[in-house]
Amino acid sequence: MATRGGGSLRAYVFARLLLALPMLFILLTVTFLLLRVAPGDPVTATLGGRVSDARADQIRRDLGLDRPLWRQYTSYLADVSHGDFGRAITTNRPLRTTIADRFPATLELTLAAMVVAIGVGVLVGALAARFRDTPIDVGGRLLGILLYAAPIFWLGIMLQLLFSIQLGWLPTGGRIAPFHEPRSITRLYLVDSLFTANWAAFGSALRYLTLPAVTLGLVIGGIFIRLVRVNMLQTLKSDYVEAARARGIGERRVLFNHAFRNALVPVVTIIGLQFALLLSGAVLTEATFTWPGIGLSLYQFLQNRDYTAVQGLVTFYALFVVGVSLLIDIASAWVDPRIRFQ
Amino acid sequence: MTPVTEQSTPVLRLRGVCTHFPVRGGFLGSLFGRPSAWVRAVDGVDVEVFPDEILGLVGESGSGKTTLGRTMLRLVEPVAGTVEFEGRDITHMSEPDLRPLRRRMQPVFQDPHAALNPAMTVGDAVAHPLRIHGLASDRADARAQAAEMLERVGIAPASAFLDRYPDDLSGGQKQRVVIARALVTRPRLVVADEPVAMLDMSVRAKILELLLELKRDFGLTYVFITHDLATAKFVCDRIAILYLGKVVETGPAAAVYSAPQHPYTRALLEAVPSPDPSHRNPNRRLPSGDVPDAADPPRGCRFHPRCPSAFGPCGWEGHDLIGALEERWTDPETFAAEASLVGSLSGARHNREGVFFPNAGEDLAGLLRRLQVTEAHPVFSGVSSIASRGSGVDVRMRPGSEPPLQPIGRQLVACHLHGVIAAALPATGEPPSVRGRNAGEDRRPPGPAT
Amino acid sequence: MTGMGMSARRQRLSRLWRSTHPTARRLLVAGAVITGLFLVMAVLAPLVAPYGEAEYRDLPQLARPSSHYWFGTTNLRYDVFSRVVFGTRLAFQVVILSTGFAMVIGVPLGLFAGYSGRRLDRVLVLLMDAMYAFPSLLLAIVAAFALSRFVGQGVPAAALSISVIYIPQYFRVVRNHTLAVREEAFVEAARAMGASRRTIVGRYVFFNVVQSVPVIFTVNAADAILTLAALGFLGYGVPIPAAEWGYDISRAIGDVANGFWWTSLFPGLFILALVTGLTLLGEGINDVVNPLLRRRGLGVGAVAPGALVVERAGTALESAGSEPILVVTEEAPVEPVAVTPSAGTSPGPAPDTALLVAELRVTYATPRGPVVAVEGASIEIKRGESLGLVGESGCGKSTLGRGILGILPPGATVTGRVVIGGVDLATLDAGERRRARGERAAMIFQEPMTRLDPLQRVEDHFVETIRAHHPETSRSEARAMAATALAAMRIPLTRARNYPHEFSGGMRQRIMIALGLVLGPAVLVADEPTTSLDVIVEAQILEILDDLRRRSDMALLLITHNLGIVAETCDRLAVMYAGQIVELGDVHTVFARPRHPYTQGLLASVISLDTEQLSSIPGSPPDLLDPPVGCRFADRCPFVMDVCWHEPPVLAGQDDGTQVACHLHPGAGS
Repeated sequence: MATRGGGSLRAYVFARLLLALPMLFILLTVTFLLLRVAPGDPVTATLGGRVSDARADQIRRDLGLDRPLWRQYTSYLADVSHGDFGRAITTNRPLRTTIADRFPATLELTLAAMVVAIGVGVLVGALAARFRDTPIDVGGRLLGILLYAAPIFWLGIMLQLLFSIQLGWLPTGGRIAPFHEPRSITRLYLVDSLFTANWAAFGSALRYLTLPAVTLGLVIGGIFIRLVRVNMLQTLKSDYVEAARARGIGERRVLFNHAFRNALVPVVTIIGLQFALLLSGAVLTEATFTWPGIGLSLYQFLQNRDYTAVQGLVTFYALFVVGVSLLIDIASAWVDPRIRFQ
Repeated sequence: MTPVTEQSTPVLRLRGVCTHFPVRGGFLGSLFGRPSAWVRAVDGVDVEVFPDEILGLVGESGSGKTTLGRTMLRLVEPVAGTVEFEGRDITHMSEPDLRPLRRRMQPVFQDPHAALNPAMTVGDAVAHPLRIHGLASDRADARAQAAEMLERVGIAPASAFLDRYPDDLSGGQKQRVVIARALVTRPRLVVADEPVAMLDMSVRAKILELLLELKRDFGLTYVFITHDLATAKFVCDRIAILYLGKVVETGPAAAVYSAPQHPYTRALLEAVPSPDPSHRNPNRRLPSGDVPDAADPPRGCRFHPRCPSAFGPCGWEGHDLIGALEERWTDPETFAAEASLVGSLSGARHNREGVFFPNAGEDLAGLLRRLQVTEAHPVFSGVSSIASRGSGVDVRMRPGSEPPLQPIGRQLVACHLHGVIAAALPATGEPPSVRGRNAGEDRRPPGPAT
Repeated sequence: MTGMGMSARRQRLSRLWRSTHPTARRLLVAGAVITGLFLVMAVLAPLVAPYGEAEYRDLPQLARPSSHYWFGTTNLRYDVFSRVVFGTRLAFQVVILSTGFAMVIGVPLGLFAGYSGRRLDRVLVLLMDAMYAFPSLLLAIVAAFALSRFVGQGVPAAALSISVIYIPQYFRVVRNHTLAVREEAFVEAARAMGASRRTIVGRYVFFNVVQSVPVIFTVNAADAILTLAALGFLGYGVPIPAAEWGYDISRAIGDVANGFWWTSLFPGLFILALVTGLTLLGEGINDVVNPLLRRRGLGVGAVAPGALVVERAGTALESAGSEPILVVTEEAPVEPVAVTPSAGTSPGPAPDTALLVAELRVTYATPRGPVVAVEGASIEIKRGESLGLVGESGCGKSTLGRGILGILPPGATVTGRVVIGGVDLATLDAGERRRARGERAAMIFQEPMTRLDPLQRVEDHFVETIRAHHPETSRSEARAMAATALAAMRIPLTRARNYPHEFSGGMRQRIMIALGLVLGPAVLVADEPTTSLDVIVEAQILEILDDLRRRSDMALLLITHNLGIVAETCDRLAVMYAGQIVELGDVHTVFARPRHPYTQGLLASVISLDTEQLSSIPGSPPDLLDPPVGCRFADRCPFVMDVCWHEPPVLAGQDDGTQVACHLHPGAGS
């Protein structure tokens, strides 16, 4: 077999970037179309009879909603490429500002939830695979299913009931106790309070973050449990694991170095796929815990039926998802040298 | 074996057939559908299949024998050459035009477990070709014909099997059903691709006997594809030996087996283990290495990098020299002694015409010249010049050529050992007889003879 | 469909059920029961619910759960229990509509794209991948948002917006499955038959692909319920007064702060329960159907407990006949198994004996009962000697090899004695037994392509092995040893740091051999080491093994079905049939004068370059679930006598040293 040298990571990244463009294009187009093709116009639909006709016309002109559809489409694409996501009808604020304001909160929540999800998922999933067909396995599988089956918002409410209302240990909503915000560097409260050694802020931020992150993390973790288990079962029965055992490699090393590591390779990709799920879940979590992130804004705009705002935020989500899946794919290729060849 | 009249019209005739497959490379490939490389599975094959004979296509993995079989049945379309079936050119015929012809040429595949539709009963599977080609008046008639065929192949009583699913049958039984399905339309040509390879030894004979019996009874012509030389010898009338997409030797089975002319054929025959412990052969010379990548076959004669008898005109290229040096350095002592030169090996730029070793000096050039004089490795007979150029050493290889199929004895053989003797010997490079294993045979002039 | 056909189908289904692992069966039943209960509740909602869906007259506000109002009442005076029951009905309506719709669109598109391919396929794939990548809830929200202006909110709108999510999922799964099926031999056979494309897609591809749909359907249904609940929570589901679970929970958020827990708990519990039931059902179906699909390489990706056949990379390791002989839960990790010494010990082996196996018996526990794969096998190999262990598929030779190394699936019990290099393995503790693997005995396998960890460089395989046994060895020392071992196998040292996939099959097998020998074991067990290699490479590898054996005085147990290579390279040979060794002796002697009728038949059936006539053995090997009481070859033996049916023969020494288990050859001194 010809030795195709070491697959160039750079070539892979370039090719992957190229592939992301059509996907992005499709997402943006779908978003635009879905929100525009309905009859009537967004302004009336949103504001209804709440403003005078003259004011409504004014708003329409301001937002460029009186132009022909294809014009709106091209300027939409052009705006997005400049990072302009439009304006909300109800607040008249540019969405770019809203996003900039609220993104760090969502990022902090999703990262913390991901940590919980990976921790729970990988641990329980690996244990279930290792002790296959024992009560540990059955329990792990059931746990995975139950966690996935619990609606995120309901789980959040139940946890609130227990830990906030009954026990009073943790707050029901918000991001940090009033006036405790640390100095802004990254605008991730945990990170910033660590950098500035502001322990009061750190403690407060952690308390407020716990329930939302655990809620979201557990549900996603439930999915990971099953995925990790299935992947590990596959790798545990693989030929190279049997061959390693036959060479007298210790069980623990076989598990970690061979079965586990190989099992994680698809998991890295799966984390990328689950990221989309994480974002959806974040919207629900932020709504339940009034966590001041983009999801909460989206929730509020949805309640108000603010079309342009919904479009702008969903556009942002699309970009975000494509970007993250790109990063994940590159990470996969870095981890598994075989991928670079394909 | 019935003698084959080479004067009759061949059932199948292939001329210069090339079947290449794209290797879908990377994302650009999947975006624009442009492949990064082509696997040249069949790369210029001329073959004829005469009526009532069994032609064996013998080769190892990567030889292209399966692809050749599929090309014969027009399950894939060749990118070059012509395929004629019963005198008609089917090379680029459209599917709808091909369909009526298909009842006259049928495959028998290797894996009996995968060749039957798991969602169809045995009876339906065997009857289906009849219904497609309108060879049965109605459902009941098709079923009856299917039952008859099943009994003919040894699945009896057929009524017990007609409504069963393939999962309920053993490997041998499944293969019989596959044969029944192939023959139910009374085809002319059957292309059997490793029909017994996946069956146990004690079952193989039964299926082979069945195939031979059916050939007699139905007047069939077979193309028998296999890697098993022993089975091919027993079953086939004529043999074509394939290597990396080309025919290297072809002729009557008796001749090829008793007097193989191509070094690859000889190697294959010597490698076949014989179930007779008193006939051990400790001194055979096996070719080195593995079958190379069909996407990038060696230049000139494709077998030359592994051939124990290779010499000058066989088509040496830069990459062969690199391989030879790598092999030299599998010996730790040599490796340690010449380790300093390894650096220049990893940075070497090679192509078909030669190799350039950057950052190498006279010591590498000197080594190479010494090796050219002393070394038994045939690649050095293909080196035309070694020169220090700038900061590196440049080695140029002599251009080689691909040997054409020539008549030698009762066979056609594609090998320079036979061809070049007739032509003038090359200026450098020792005469082939010194390197050829059966030196005596090689000295024989070509022409009609044993 | 004839009567015969129906019973054949029923037979298949029952066999499928019986061979499914009990855990999988329980999952399926549990899921079916739960889902069934909910379905009944949905259908009979008006009868089950004490109050109307949106009935609020005369009901108290926020009453606690009691005998009147089992789940209490809400802020708007609705009876929570009734709401929840009607919610079940609504859930089923929406979910069935949406998944049904998605299936009707997604499945044909996937089939078409998968089979026809080319441009339209590529476009569809891009489109579907984009939609699949997008957060599904947001996609549904956007769809619901848009639809609300078209059709207003209601059941159809909710169902449609949810179906948008699942169309790409059906498309993907069906397309991937179609792509796999398209490459199958039976599809190509259909093309060769002259079947039209429509027929092929309809009768050949579709019926096989559709087997994966029920699983996806239940999984999607479960997800759809969650999506509907989320949409309801956000206010984009089916509006009041419809009893939508998610919506009710959103209304209950305010209650929680005031300590009213019942308005949110119960709707959520119902969601939890129904989704769990559907998921269990889906996993259960998958576990039952999957082995069938996976055996043909068409599986849906998830692992199925309880494969029907001892599988390695999809090819049957030990199976024969229509009934697979060995039924093993091969999905379980292969773990080191201790050899339990059997009662009655024989005297110790001679000092130059590298391997002694005495009365080895391997039993597999299978869902259908215990199967004795190896019955009382005894072999002995001296230093520097090679023994060929031959037999056809299902005879137990691979199991014997693995039993010696102690790497069998759990559920396998091994009794007997294994002595390697003078050391009885039963006297070793677990750690020593592990080290014995590699130091005393090593094993190489059939498919070199998959035996190396794809994520680990070749050199590191050696370093790991060496240090697992001699942890005091430094990395550089280990690397030096690796270099020596690779050099002995003529692997270019410049490639030691390459990954396994950069080597060809023959080179990988050489790497495996080098890995097996790097610690200098006394015994090498080679399980079909050349079966998947070409004949020239096979000859190369056998030469290497022979050379090694001579140079390092190593004992070689060569397990194979190829009598030719045994004749070429082995000193002695053992013939196995149906789990037992039936003949054992010097290779020249046995080949020249085979005594056991099976050996005779086997030798006669070998096709070699000198074969003049074909020969075969009628019949097939017995089912080891219920082996015959006498000689296992009796039903196929041309020389069968009365005693053969009642009494099993034992291995008896003959005058030329061969041992035969046959009543025709009672042997010296019987």
